[in-house]
Amino acid sequence: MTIGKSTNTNHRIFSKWDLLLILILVTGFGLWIGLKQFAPSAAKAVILLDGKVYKVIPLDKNAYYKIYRGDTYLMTVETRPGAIRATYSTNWVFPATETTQISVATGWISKEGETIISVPNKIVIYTEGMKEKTPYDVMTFQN
Amino acid sequence: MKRRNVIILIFTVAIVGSVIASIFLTNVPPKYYTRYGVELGTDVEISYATKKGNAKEVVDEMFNKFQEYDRIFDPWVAGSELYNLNHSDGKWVKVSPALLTVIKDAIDFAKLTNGQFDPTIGRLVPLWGFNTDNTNSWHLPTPEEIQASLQHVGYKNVEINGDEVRLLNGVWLDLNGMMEGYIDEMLIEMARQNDPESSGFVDVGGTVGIIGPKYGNKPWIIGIQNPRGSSNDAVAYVKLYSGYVGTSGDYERYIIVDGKRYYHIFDPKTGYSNNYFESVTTVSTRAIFSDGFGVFSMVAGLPAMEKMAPKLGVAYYAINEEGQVIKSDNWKEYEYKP
Repeated sequence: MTIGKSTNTNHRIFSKWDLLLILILVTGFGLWIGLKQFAPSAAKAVILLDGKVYKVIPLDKNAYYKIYRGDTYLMTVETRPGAIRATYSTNWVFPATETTQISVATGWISKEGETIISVPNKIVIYTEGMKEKTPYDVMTFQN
Repeated sequence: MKRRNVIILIFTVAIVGSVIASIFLTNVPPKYYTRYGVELGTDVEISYATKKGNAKEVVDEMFNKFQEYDRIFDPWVAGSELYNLNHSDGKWVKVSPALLTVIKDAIDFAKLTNGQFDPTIGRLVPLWGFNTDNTNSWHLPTPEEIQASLQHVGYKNVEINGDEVRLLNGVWLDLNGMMEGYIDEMLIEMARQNDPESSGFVDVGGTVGIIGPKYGNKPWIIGIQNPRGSSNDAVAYVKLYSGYVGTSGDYERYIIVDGKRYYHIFDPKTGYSNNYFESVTTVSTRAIFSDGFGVFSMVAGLPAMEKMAPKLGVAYYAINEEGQVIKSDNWKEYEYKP
């Protein structure tokens, strides 16, 4: 295939090896961009306290993390690969094992779009990079 | 570098540039900036996209507004505007435009429902302990205590003159039944002022308002929380391109005494909650109806709900205390099945 000709020589501008090189470069760039743009990131949980990021936890192992406001203990979260839950929460009055707390009652979350929220403690936990997504974008609940 | 190599490089860059441009300009949907928070004692989520590229700044500005709303609407914090009004001993009080708007809307809705929605139940809320997140404070008051509080309930005790309000007979306002919808409207207005073509949603305490369709032409899917499930468990789904959806229910602030469930939405005539529904979800073009219709229905029951819905032009999805689903005829316009 002749793409064009040099004005000074009679040689082809692109040899078949040049075209192969271009193809490799274009494919390589394309794959790099595609992977960067669309590749899923690793599963993680973002913990917000008072509206600010308190901690980002990779959801790749079984572990426990405690959440504090200053020196005041607020909550423990438990992780396992691909999921997180609140196991132990307290506020200024609740006994620590109060089972009616919504954050604890929420249980494990493992899908993108699910949240754990403790209103008294102003804690929000959400996930990123999960394999599954909730079928909804947002939830309506009682006000 | 040889001339031929330069040409190869330019050619490659041109092709790659074209590919990148085509991906970014045609196929990639707008990037939504989503922020979560706890404001006004409830969950807030805002998701927003704009071609102006300042989505984060706008959403952060929206969240900053909650400090102002907190100072206006929290009836239980001394020094807030509503607290001061509730403790003004029957004097005329000049109020802010935001508070005036919500009071007017609430009183209009009270008139429309003949008092079955009544924002003057304020004194009943702390009587039951539902003004705090501390579940140990939630309790069943004595009948005498309830009767005493009911003496100070009645929307006709609210007088409005220009930008002044007077509360007679010791009534206290609790505007939770309308406030979220109003804030939704204000925040959506901010988003649209920034960019009329922008899209996203605002969720304040479960009242969700749509800024614009998802990716410009798709509906947002809103789950309806299972009233007897966890907070991420949806029983049904709504699709919305615009408008508002709100839910009232008996499942977050409640106590069970001798097998009977008592929750935070009170019948203004009896001072107790009514056990007609586990939840009522309302779709409306007006935020105050999405909020107010649910509260009204929890108090008034099915026949009144069926009668009122066409007057307001709302669609509803209700679950009664037996767990049966009751939907308005126009609900199918909004129903989404994944």
